[in-house]
Amino acid sequence: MSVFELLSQYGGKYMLALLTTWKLTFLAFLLALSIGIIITIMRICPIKPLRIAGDFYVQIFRNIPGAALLIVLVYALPYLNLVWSYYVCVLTATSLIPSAFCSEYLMAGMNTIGAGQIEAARSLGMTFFKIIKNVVLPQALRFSVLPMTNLLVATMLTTALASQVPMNPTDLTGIVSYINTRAVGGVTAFLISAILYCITAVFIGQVGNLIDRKVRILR
Amino acid sequence: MSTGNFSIRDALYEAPGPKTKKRMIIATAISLAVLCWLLFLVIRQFYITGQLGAKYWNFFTTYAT
Amino acid sequence: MANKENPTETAATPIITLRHVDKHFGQLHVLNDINLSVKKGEVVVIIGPSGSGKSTLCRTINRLETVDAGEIMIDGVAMPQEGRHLAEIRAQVGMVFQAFNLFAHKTILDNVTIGPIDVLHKPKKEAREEAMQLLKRVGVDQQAAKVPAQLSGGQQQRVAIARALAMHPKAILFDEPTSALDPEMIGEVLDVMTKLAADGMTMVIVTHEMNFARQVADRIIFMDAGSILEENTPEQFFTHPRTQRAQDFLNSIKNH
Repeated sequence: MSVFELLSQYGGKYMLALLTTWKLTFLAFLLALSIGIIITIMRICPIKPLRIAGDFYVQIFRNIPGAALLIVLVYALPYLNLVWSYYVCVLTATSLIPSAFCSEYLMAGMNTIGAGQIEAARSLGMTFFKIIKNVVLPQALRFSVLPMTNLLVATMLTTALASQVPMNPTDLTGIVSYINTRAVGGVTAFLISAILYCITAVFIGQVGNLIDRKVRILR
Repeated sequence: MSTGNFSIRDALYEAPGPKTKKRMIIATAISLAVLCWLLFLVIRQFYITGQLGAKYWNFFTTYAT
Repeated sequence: MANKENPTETAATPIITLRHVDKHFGQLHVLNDINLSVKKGEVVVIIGPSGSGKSTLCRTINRLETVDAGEIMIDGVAMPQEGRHLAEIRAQVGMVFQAFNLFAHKTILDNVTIGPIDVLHKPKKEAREEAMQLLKRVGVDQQAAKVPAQLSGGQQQRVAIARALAMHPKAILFDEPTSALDPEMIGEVLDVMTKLAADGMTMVIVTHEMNFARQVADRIIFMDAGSILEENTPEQFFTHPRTQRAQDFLNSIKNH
């Protein structure tokens, strides 16, 4: 089938799949960001057990393949009487893994600040929370704009995991198998999905660059 | 001064005073208790569902090729 | 300085007092029974070979370094060990660092106003006006809207001095303020410091600039291996050092 035939026949399905991917990406990214911030707070807090737990969390989820995590959630958890819907499983897998990377980026952002500025703030008479508010957070956030842009794109690509379980409506990768079981879409069906992924990623990247250029800290 | 493997973890906190030390000990104890409780919940779930049975685990003790 | 011979001031409480201060880094005895008192308006310059503990001494005064034993008092108040009280006392003592340590994400003006606004709760407008005056005083008012990375080292250090002044500190500590500067920028920073000293600011300065020390100091403190070996007027110290080690140190500098 040609691109035009595919689009005229399945155009609506593609749009729906694109929206599903966007929705999944958005939700997963928000979750990843929230979890990542909490884990980062644990990792920089002065309480040893929480630091270790945070480090452990990051090591686990940074190093586990998304598909493996999804398999655990879908096939292993029911043995522990934890039966989650496919949607929840996909959302969990696609937010836990990026959350580990999110924490790593935030840590890297904070490590660029340097002890000197914190000492300077201290000698101005700022308390711990004022130092966080005035010096650490603003710089860490500004530094993290580009890494977070990359994380958003990576999260979107991770949502392709959704194609591995039955979902309705299906995502951009899932739609390809849907079409190819019904028609001879072949590589062309993939190509359309790929272009849609690409357009989204480029758009995210452009917005990220724009923000970064506004807030970047000169060094 | 701050060369080498600098970590924000060391820079963010200054040497604790006596009150802070006491608070840290309490917080450490509480956090340990919470983490142990979470671990206990996981193991309990394994136990309840019978996943701790010997047949699931003894492949770690047998030779395989 | 001639105008500091006021007899009533000698009776007042010293701004900075250190009594029997001791500190170890593992096996190393970095501060060995340090006793020091700095009166209002006095300029004390600490010199000594590198590793003698002079920077550590400077940093213990506002508890950027903790001590193992001894007493540190700021204007008669013992340095608190933590919390809000520690922050309050620190706000009364300015500090200028070797590496400037300006806040990289803030403009020059904001670097100077952040302390007064966020710590002293001054109205923003007032803080800004005063900051502009201070920036003018140190000669960087033209750069107020820039960020630190756009300034030269000498300019950054002068902003750091303005930032410390904006807190109306009782004393300012200078931890090797010119050691990270290119030679051609050292002068502009020392000029600002000389003016400050003439205006009666209480200062503790760790430096390797001997000419500057001789010119500005009311008192020279010579440290080696964690101990204060000599405490004297600049004239006496530079012409007739009492200890052999001070003599050796002065000779080693002259040979450069």
